[in-house]
Amino acid sequence: MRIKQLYLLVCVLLFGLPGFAQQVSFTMEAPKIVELGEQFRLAFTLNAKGQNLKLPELSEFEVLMGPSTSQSSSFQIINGVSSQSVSFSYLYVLRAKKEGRFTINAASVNVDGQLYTSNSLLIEVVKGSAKPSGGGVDAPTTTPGSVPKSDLFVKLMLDRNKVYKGDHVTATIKIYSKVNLNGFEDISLPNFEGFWSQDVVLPQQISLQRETYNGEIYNVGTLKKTLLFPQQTGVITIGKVKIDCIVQQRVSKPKSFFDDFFDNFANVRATVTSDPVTVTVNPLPAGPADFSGAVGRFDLRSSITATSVKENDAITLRLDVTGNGNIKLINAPKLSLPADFEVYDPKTQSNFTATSEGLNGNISFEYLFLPRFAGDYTIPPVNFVFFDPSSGRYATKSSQEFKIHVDKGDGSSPANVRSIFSKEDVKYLGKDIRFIKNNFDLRPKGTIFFGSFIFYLTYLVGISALLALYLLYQKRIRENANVARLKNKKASKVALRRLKEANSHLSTGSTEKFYEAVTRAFWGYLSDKMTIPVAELTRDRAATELVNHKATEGLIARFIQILDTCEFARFAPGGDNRKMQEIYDEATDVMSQMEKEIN
Amino acid sequence: MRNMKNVIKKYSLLLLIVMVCLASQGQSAAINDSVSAANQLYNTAKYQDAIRKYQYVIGQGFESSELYYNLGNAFYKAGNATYAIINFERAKKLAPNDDDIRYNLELARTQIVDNIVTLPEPGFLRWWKALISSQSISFWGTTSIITFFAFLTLFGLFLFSRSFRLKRLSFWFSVTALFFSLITFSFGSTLKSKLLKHNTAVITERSVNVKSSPSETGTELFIVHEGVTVQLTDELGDWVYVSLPDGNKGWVKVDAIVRI
Repeated sequence: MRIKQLYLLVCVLLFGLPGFAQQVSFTMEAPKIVELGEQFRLAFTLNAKGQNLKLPELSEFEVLMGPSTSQSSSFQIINGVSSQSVSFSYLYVLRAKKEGRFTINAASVNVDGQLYTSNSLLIEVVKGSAKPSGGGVDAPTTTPGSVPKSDLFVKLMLDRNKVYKGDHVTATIKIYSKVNLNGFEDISLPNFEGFWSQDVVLPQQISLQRETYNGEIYNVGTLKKTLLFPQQTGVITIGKVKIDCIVQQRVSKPKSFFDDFFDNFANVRATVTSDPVTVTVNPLPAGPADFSGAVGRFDLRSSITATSVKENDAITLRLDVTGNGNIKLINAPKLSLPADFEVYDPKTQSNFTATSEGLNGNISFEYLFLPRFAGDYTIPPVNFVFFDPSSGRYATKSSQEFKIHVDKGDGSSPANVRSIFSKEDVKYLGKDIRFIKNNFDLRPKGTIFFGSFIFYLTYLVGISALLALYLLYQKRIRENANVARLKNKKASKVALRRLKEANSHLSTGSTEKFYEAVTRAFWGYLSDKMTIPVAELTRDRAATELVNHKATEGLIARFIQILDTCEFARFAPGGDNRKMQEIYDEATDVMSQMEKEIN
Repeated sequence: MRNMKNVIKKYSLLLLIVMVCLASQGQSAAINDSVSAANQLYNTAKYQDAIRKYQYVIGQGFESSELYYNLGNAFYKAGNATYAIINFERAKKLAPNDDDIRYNLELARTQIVDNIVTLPEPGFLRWWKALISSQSISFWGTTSIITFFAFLTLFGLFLFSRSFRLKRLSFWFSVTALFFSLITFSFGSTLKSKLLKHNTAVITERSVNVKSSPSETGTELFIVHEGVTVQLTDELGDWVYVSLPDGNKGWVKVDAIVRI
């Protein structure tokens, strides 16, 4: 059993080793900033066995010691995967001779006959502080329990002070320390009011780095890096950062014997606050109407799922905006689809990472729509308008134009069913005034027919025409009346003449003519007297008219008697002279009687 | 000889009439050209130019409801709702029953600042006014003349007929016709007096303080904004007494309004 395990181990060692040795890394490390006269270490790390290390030229530095070589190797198995690493390090102790920025060029080393070069370094040498830089521990402070402000402070820094609204500012919170920082107890950050903020991901562990500030070297730790996107214009003030730090401090108690051998340390709480900073946010210049709210640099790509579909098949148009800027605040560009498409709200998906350079990533808009009716449609290009702060101008990216062909559905789709049972309301696409009129009836101003001279004249003409007609009528009536009167006057004369004519027939003995003459005399008399045409006269009519003309009944009876006798005798054969004479006398008598009674 | 002279006189008069007719024909042809040019400008969305052309035609002393309507449309499209309202009101005055004019006027009124609720009139009065303005002046005038001639005919029948029944019938019908003639005449004259009176106006200043008395020192009663249609009921120097559709009244400087 044991032998088997050992064997396995050997196998792993034998076969595992070469696999990890292939990547040779050779790095050079040194502090970035050193004080003049300060001793510092220049270390080379090589993860393989090397030979013949060649140092670069170090004329600005004094090599105090080195190289001291050390070697370490490790072997580990994690979850059945074994790894081994070997590390050789060469250590030099240097001291800077003058102030300035110096480059230490790459060193080279020979590994298995292959030459590897390291990275190069930039070292800044600053003037040392007055305080003697002694050992690793600070000298005791004069007032124990307090930390001087120049030794420990926090700063909130912005990468710029003037931005356009929507563009980003990077805010960095750094702690500067010359003391022995033991940790942080409470960090209260300003609430970035007026900004939309996005934190840049930093390593969990806060590592302190040497940096110069006002010509002095501090250990600097970056606590937080935040991208700020201003949402309002004007001067915005960012509040203070307040940090409670735990500082390890050497306390000096009354001198005792042991003090010289054992230092006493105490943890002191020191509260540091940063100064508030301001940033000036400029409004964006007046932009086009379809400005999407995007500020930065972007690219637009568009795609569509299908261009030839059946009625009521869903189509998705996708717009991808990729770039750097306020990605999360971009509004979906307006898609102008044909009016009778059924459109759903666009689905927005964004994916971005915050870096010191801003928000990088992409946002996608998916527009789902259903063409309801067959036909050929065109989806015009979508304009994505964004503001480019680097040029200070608006830029437009347009998507592709898509042509969609929609075939008739098979009839089972819900829209077709619906169209049978319910009619669609007319879609009001927009409200606008009605169109101008083209049929003109231009008139000079103030010419209204109503109330004009001609208008009133028309009435006048009508009235006068009627009046004239009436007068004419009256005149004619008068004239007619005259004729009637004349006839009336002449009636008896005419009648007598006719009777005389009858008398002549009597003497000649022509019976028929005699009776006819008498009848005519009577009818003619009545006609003239009563202004009734002879044709309209009948026996009954004559009787009623005579009553109207106030003739006595006896006279009327005699009149009728004569008429009847004449009618009868006219067609009877054989004349009786004596009887004719009687009738003639009777007729003359009635006539004269009538002339008296009627007028 | 004398006969000849007479003939020449007659013909020269005729010639003069013909020439005047032709000249006016030519002028109206030029005006019609201007109008169609203006319509063309409107069609090509050159609203400012169209406005100028229409106003030129009006300046030449011509008018019609269509002209004011088109001018109002051009103003509306050019973004000037107030002047659109003025011209639609003028068009409405000439053609009270035109649906397009009323629609566009309503639409233009949605663009103005003040939302004035019109006081409801008594039902009968409203009906009566609607009846009067349901037709144009010329319609009422022509109807009045036609019914008057109907009256004359029927009255003539009454005068000249011998039949008693016909007389009675024609008499009553003639009275009815006369009644209609008088009614339509009164409608027409109401419309005409409205047309000539110019007692409607539109506020043209952006914001006007309406005062309680016709002087600068008068108490400020309320503020109206441009585009509101008001009725003018009185006048004193530079001031007019306006009455708003919601019943509010007050004095306003005459240069803050434009009469319809």
